[in-house]
Amino acid sequence: MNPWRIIQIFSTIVIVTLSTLWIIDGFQVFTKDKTEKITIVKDEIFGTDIEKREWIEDFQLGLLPDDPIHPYRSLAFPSLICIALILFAQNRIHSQENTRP
Amino acid sequence: MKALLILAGILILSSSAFATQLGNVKGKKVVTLQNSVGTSIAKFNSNSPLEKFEGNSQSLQGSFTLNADNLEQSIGKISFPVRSMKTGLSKRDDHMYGKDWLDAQNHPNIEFELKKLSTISIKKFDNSGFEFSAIAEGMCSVKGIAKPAKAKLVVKYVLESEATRKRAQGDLVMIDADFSVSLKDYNVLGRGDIIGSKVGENIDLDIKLFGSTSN
Repeated sequence: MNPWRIIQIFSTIVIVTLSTLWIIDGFQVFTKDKTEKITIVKDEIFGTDIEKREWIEDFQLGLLPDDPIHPYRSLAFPSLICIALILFAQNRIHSQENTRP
Repeated sequence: MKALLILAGILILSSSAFATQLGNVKGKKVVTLQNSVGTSIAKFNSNSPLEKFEGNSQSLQGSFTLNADNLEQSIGKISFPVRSMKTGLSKRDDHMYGKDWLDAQNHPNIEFELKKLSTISIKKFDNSGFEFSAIAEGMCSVKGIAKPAKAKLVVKYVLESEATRKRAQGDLVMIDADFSVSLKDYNVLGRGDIIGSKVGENIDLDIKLFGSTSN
């Protein structure tokens, strides 16, 4: 198989995988490094439901990076690289087909 | 002289008529926030076109005095450290503590000083305690700037019993308060045009306080 085609397939897999991860993580705009665990408990004395909240370490992929100096921690940056690779590979494939006798 | 005495009498009667009292619960009750009663929390919500986010602080401290003879004259002070505010994104938290935002280094705490209660409405009153809603009027201090603020609150006051003593000595109190702050009012301007796009112009606060009358 043409190595440029392999690069295209690999890039597509990366985009689909990251997009799936982004959807699973809840369409976050920015990447997050913590998630809030909320437990609801019944408070008998005050006769109401009380939320217990705690932050736990949990990476959630966002469309944009949490820190501009780490752009790879996002969906957008690696996806743009992959799209550029797909287009470049397509260009190479096209050139190879045109130069073939 | 007689007219003066009548006038004074009318004034005394009218002032006591407007004082909201709590039946057989008497005197000033000093309530101190205590984690054994419940974890006090200040949740804040930012709603902007680009992102909605919420965070919280669970390091609230302070006390307030409920004046059972005249609830309107209740006072107190609640605060929490800026650095205890978390949003789930460490970089954003670091920015929030910075000079352009809440300036935690120079103004380490956010405070609300209760000056009085108004619009009091007693919702429940029985042998176990009482519940009322009110408007808390006071001064909110953010980034060293104090501005008058009003918060809607619901107070649940549970008298000491066998069940309450398992958590803490004294009467137990839970307060649910809501209010909103405008970042501009406190000179929290951020960088560029972030406020209004990534961060809401107004931050909604939902505060739950737990305390007891024992120290």
